[in-house]
Amino acid sequence: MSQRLRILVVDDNPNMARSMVAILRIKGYESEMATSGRQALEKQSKKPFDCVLSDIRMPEMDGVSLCWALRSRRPIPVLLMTAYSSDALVQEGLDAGAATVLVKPVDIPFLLALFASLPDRLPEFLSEVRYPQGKVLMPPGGR
Amino acid sequence: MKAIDRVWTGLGPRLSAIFILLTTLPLAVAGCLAYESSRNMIERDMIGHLTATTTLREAALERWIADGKRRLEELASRPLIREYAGVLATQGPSTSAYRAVHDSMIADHFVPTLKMETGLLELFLLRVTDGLITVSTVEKREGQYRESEPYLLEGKRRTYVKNIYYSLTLEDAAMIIGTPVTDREGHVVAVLAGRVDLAEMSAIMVQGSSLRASEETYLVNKYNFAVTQGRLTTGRALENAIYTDGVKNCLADSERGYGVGLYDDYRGVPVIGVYRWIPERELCILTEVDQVDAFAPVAALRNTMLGIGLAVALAGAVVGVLFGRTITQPLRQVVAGAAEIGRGNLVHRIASSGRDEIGQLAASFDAMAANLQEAQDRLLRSERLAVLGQLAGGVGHDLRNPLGVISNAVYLLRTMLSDCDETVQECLEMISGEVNRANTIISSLLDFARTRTAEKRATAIPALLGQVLERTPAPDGVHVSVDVASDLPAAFIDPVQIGRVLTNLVSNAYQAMPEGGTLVLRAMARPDRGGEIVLSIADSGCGIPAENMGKLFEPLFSTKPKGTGLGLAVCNNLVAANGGRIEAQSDGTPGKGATFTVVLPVKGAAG
Repeated sequence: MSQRLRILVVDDNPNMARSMVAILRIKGYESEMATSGRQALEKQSKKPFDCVLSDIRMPEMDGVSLCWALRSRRPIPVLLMTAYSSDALVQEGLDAGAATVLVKPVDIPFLLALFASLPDRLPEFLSEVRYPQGKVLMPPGGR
Repeated sequence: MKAIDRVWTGLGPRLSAIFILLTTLPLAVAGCLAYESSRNMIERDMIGHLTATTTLREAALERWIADGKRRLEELASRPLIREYAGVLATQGPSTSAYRAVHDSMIADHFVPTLKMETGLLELFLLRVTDGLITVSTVEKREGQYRESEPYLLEGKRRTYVKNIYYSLTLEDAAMIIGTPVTDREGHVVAVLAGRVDLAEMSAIMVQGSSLRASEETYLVNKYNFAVTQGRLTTGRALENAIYTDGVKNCLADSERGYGVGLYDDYRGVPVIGVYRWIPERELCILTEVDQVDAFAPVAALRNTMLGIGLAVALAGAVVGVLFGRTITQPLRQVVAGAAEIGRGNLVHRIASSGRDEIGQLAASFDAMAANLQEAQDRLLRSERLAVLGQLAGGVGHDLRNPLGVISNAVYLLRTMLSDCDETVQECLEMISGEVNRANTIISSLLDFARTRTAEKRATAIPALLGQVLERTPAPDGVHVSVDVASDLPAAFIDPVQIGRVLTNLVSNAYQAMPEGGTLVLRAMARPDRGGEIVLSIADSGCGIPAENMGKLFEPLFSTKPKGTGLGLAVCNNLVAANGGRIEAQSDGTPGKGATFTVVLPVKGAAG
């Protein structure tokens, strides 16, 4: 690990974000938290992260819109997590360009393994962004 | 108005009316026919009888007249009478011989003859040359002349009857017979005449038996005057003129001389009459009987029929009312029951005991109510399930967030406290384990709540069963046997969903046999039910108590210590989503186990 991976954790539940950041830091990653999509986008524009782990259901801007916004600016791996494991939601996330959609409670060893393999499998994580027909996402703020 | 309408549109009154009509109409027709025919018959019989009576009395009349003629002829042929007649014809009345002959003739011959009840009232002798009455039983007539009387003119040659006429001297009706008297030389010297007793003639007309009290025979002359006194007529002969249809016809039809008819008699009373013209007597003989009297038996019959008819009508009405009640009562029960069911009381049952159509109707209503209730129950259950699913989904999802935080925190603690004391480690393990268990429950709940559409495709059952058994290997002591019909068609189902159902059922069966046992998987086609496939999973385990059978597929019902109570509920939902159904059979006896039957559709089958 020549360069430490910078990971942004986004969740409207601060406890979830904080605990996730703590785990990642213990495991040697550089991690920060954001409690909203807007905050995440701000942080990303200040100093870009290598990867974003975001909750889907959040007020104002949800995870799918955030993913879409992030991916429309630059190719960045986005992992989504959700408590609502509906097939439609998962598909929406994947269509927005998320690498995967994880169901809460997130299996931490599995998540860590994913991050560990990320540098080697970057193209796989950057799946194609498909624009769902008739679906208007949150304004990406650029492009 | 409405009440009246109801009375007449009600089934009971209509049935009664029909009953009355049905019972009385044939009776009325039969009665009318019987009345008519018996009336005709009686009329015919009566006419026959009257004709016979008329003929008999006419014969009696003729006989009686013939008797009178014979009597006169006998008298006229006596030698003494002939001798006396000769004396009386030749000598003057002043001679003693004349007187002697005159007195002897009256005393010795005429008076004894009249006393013999010959039907003669008066005898007299007429001198043939000038019609002088020389001898008469009525003394004042002697010396009178009857030179132009037909009984003299005709009586000179033969015995002659002068038919009934009105005698001016007698001032009464009379009928006189004259017969010639000859002397020893054979010359006609006198005419012996006898006046007939018309009262006796009247007696002849009423003699003999009659069928009816009102029956009478009488004679009418050609001038419409009654000659004889009937039992019912009054007045003397030729005093009353009769102008009835019978008399008119008789006189008008004197050529034919015979007839019958129904007409009003001289009293204005309707009669049946038979009339006959007697040309020799120039008389019409009529025999009549009052119609009321003649038809009395018919009237009696009519009254009897009317009585019977009324009785039958009454009986018909009563039977109709009773019958109507037997029909309308159960019908009313059905109507009331249907109304009750219609008001939404689906528990209500008509419970009619009848086996007839109404009973069947009631049974159908009961069945309908039962079906409705079942459908309503099913609807309520599915609504409850839907609400439960929504609730379960919401709660499940919301619980995953805190569970995730706890899970993360535990992971952190375990990483940070890798060398802490055992108690802390144990606590962390406990928390971790319970978080996992909570997560499992949530997953089951969400499985149950999730309404994923079945992706149906043709699926081979043997392969599916193979996958299921591979996924759930049999524990030790459990023997598994698979019996699949060779000609089994492919089921039209979502293999993933039905695979989950079968997996669930098989693992349930394993859990029901902790001591070991036998699991039998059977699959066969039901050609009679559109070829649907019947899959049965039979274990030899502890069985299902009867009280639990009804709740088996209800969500959150479980007898397992760690069961979520969602497994069979999810199975039920999945099978239903695939157009099949699932049933359980068990007599609750441990060792005999339970059998779960899954019925699955095939391609093209309805449902």
